[in-house]
Amino acid sequence: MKKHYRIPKLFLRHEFILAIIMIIFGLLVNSINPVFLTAENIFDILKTSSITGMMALGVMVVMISGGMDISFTAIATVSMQVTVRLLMMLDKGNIFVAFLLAAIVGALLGCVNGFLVYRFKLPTLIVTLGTSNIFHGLLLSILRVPHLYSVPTYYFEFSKMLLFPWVNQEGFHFGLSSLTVMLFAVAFVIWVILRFTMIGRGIYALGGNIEAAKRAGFNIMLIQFFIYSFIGLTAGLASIEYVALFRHVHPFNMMNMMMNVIAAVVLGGTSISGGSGSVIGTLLGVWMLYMITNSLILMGIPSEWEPVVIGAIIILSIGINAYQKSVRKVEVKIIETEV
Amino acid sequence: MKPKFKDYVKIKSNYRELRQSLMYFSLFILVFGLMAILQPSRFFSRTNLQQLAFQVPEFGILALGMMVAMISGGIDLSIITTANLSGIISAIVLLTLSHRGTMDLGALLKGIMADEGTRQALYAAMPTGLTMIGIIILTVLTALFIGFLCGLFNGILVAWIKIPPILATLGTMKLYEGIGLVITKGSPLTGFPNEFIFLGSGSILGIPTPMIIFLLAVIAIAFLLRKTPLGRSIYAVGESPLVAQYSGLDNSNILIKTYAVTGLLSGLAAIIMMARVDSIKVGYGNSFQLQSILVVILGGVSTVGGTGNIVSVFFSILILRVISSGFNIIGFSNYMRNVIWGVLLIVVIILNTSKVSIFKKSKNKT
Amino acid sequence: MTEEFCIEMKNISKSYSGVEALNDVDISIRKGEVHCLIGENGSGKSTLIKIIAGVVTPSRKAQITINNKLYNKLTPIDSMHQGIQIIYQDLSLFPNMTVAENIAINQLLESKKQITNKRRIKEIATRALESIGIDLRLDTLVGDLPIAKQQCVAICRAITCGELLIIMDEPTSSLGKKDIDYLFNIIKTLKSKGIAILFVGHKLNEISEIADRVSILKDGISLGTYDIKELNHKKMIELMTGKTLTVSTYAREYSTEKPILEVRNLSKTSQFSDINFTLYPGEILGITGLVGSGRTELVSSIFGLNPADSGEILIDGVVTPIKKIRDALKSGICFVPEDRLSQGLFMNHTIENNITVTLLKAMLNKAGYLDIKKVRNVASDWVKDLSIKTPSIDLPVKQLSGGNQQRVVIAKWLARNPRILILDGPTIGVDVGAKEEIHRIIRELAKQGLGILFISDEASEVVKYSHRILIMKEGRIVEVINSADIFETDLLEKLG
Repeated sequence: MKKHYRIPKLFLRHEFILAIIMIIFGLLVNSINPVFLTAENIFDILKTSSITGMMALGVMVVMISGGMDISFTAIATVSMQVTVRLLMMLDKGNIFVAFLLAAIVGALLGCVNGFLVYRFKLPTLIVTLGTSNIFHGLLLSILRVPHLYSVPTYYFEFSKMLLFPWVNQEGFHFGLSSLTVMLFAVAFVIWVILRFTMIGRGIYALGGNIEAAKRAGFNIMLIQFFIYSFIGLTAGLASIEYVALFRHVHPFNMMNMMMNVIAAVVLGGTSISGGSGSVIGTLLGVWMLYMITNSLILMGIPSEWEPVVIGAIIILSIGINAYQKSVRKVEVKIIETEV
Repeated sequence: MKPKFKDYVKIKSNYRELRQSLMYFSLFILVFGLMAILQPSRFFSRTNLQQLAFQVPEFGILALGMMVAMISGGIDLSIITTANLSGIISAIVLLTLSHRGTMDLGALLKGIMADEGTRQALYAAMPTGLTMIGIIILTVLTALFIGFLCGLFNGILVAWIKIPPILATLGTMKLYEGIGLVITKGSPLTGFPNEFIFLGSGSILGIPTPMIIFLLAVIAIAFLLRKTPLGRSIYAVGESPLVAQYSGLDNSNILIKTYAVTGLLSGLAAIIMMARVDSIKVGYGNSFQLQSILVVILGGVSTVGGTGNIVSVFFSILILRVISSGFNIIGFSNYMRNVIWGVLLIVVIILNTSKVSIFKKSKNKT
Repeated sequence: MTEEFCIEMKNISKSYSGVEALNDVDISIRKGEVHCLIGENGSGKSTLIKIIAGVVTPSRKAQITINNKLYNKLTPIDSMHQGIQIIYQDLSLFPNMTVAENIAINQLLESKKQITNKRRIKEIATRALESIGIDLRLDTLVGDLPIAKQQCVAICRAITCGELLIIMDEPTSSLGKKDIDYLFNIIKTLKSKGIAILFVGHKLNEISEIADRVSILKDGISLGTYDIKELNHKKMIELMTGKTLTVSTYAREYSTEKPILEVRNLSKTSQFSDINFTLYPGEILGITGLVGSGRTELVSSIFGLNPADSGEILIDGVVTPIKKIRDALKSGICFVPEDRLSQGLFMNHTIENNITVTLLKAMLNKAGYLDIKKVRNVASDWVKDLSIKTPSIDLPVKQLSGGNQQRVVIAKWLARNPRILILDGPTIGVDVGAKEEIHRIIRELAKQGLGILFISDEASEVVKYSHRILIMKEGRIVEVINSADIFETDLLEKLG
């Protein structure tokens, strides 16, 4: 007689498995280079990954709804330039105004995507490929000097802010960075929205069965606009975080972050075909990704290996995800009965 | 149904493809003519025509690859990095064999070619004649082979692991770029023999060599799509993988071959890239990615696959490059061009999508 | 408006680009009754229910009275507010959301509240499940449930907002007998709560079991509403098809010496078991049974689409392992699938393409590439042979009528010169005249020595157009009978 053990559902969840992998990985790397699991390093990883994390939250929302947005880095770049330059021109402003302005610019640009996707029902990947080029191209055509190396100090000051600072033996301050706190705040907000509001249900509904979502009476327009302006907003916030951390405005650096963000979201368990994804998973995915790249540095592997590793991670994690899905394939067919 | 309508429909459907091709041809003539009228001196200038003739093949071959992938219902975002990687590896083969004995690989990879004196010496020491032809053939085969491998990998990810083509090729795009970076650390590889450069910058009977290669590629792909079972099967899988399966077609097999072909074409494009500018580096041709998707959609290939006319795509390629040269003349910056391509892409898909839905509404039952 | 009716609809008409789907239809529904809407495919049933649900607007001014309120047309909101809910044939559920969320979603959307909370969702879902007496775990993902359970979820969702009328569009089309009984029990419970059910179907034995009154549609015209007591199967068929009782006209003209196909002990877990039958060259074997009896699964395994777990298939007396479609094709077995739109045809491709796509390897010329002229000739010949009405073989098949489309699918397989042809529901969605034509073609093929298997839901079709009938029930063959020895009414009884 066979005995059936019921594995608690928790253990099978993607987020749980990822967390376990992260712990094991962390321990492994730490054995090679004990600097890895020190508090300073962990807080540092949290800090530098906040930019990617912020954008990853936006990408996650789009993916859950079954879409794909590759224009977010362009939106980030534009928000960054517009905000910093405008505030410098007006010679006013502080970090909060900067964040607010960037968020608004990002959201507005995102609305363009939302409009095109909703109004014309266009395939999201190709549309955002187009808008990415339009936004970035316009920006670079207009700006004569695309780099800005001197920005007001309040940006950098913000990045130095720490919550509960400690001081270590060398007198170096470390702790939970303001950037990380921002990430947590936005993560919390989107978590609430996804979990407790009808818009959140609508996002999952769109990803699960778009026809059924229309039939059920969801306000598709509202949901699409929300999704695409949200990713724009997070891109805008991320862009100011970038300026805060790196003290300059750069026309290309954020563009190159796109693959890392997508890798993190996919690693975190969000399904590319839509319908599933979680905030915790995405955050874990971001941290996992940074753990990997951070560990490469600590292990002395030259930086040119990073893209290879990222590419391999994307393929591996999507591959596993896709293979699992094809094994337990359940399709919901739409039947359009004739007259 | 009156007889008149019936005949009209008959003619219409018999020559549907021909009509579409004619339409694109006329569009091309139109655009060409416009350019000629507006800026005759600059348009017909030597530099401009030359640039056109030499840029079309590189871009065109890449676009052909994109077309094949999109007809099968997918997309290949890795064509540029595949080309780069194929180019890099075949460049190593080329350089190693041409500079055998005079220089070691490590130095080559660091790109030490700056000194004109060294250059002359090295060129003088290169093998010539049959040996050189052999080396070039080997180089070309290497590029094609690497391209083929990259495409094969894409195909396996899509067909066996069942990863959606967007994601699979997004990942391999990064992967191939990464491998290229590891090999070259970002520096360009240069110093190719003159005989090789002929492939990209020379002419035969007045026609630039790359153009000849391009036209041969077009004929080959047209042949593949129209006159081989594989070609028709690609259309079938693109139109409906389910029906294809029910019809006894081997979808996995067909998809793998599709992406392998795309990879092969990327490898071919790499040769032309290398030969045209006497160097290869990671990042070459990045702007072509958006344009290749644009030109394929412009050419009437559906975003979901199953349909596509190579003649239309061919003329779209020409149209796009003519417009691009027009941009050169006007003096648009690279960035401005990207903006226009982006706008054009969006406009074209809007038109395509609304065309499809108009079709749906008036579903005529004969 | 009479007291007994909760919904009265008069003068309902709808045309689509000149084609009239509904012409001046009247229908009325009593409070708490089970009202069945029957009619052949193409009769307008689907359009009518969409109009009641407010999803489609009538082409001319109609008179719709619901609960004493008069409307000329309905919007989905109107319908919903009046307590009308529709359950589509595909159920329109969200596979990535839980049972509780799916059930509660309609009510949540209607309440227009932006904030949701788990407790409320749980409440709504539990209440709905309890009121019908169904037991399901609230946190299972709907995508992980079997179809019958998914349907329960869809019904629960409907009753959260449907106090007046629940419309069910062909709810039994993918259910087996046990699940159908389960469903009917639920319907009876709903009825006891005073909720009217509009049940669209075409399986007469089901109708007889569950309906109070029956409305019949034919070609967009209402043929009246009858009390179930006034009707029997014979009368229903007559009304639906306009024809009287059918008798088999197929005399046995083939030899039973050597079977072309023999199936021994074929089984596949949870689909069918212990299947044994023989098929002779020149014979038409009609396979019938309720949906869920395993018919499609059985023929799919003969075709290699769904290979069996155990048992043997013999072609011409030789044991032939069929593990993939290609094995079946090599043995000369061809399969015309049930859903020609999504399984049988490349809709955007030309007739020529569709007919020749499986033959390409055989049409190479000496140099090794496709002989285009040959391809086109083959396609043209088949168009002529099967009388496919089209001005050209370059027409995309989506522009053809249903009957002609079906012929293209058949041509596609006939072009391979099969020895055994399997047809799954070959006349679904095809009008009556074309149906006769298709069976004529099948008859001709049989005369040429092919062995034919065809699956049909319609008892009359099976009785009229086959030599022998194989009746399946719950994965097993229950009876093999000569078509000449049975009337369809009896057949229907055997199925029930």
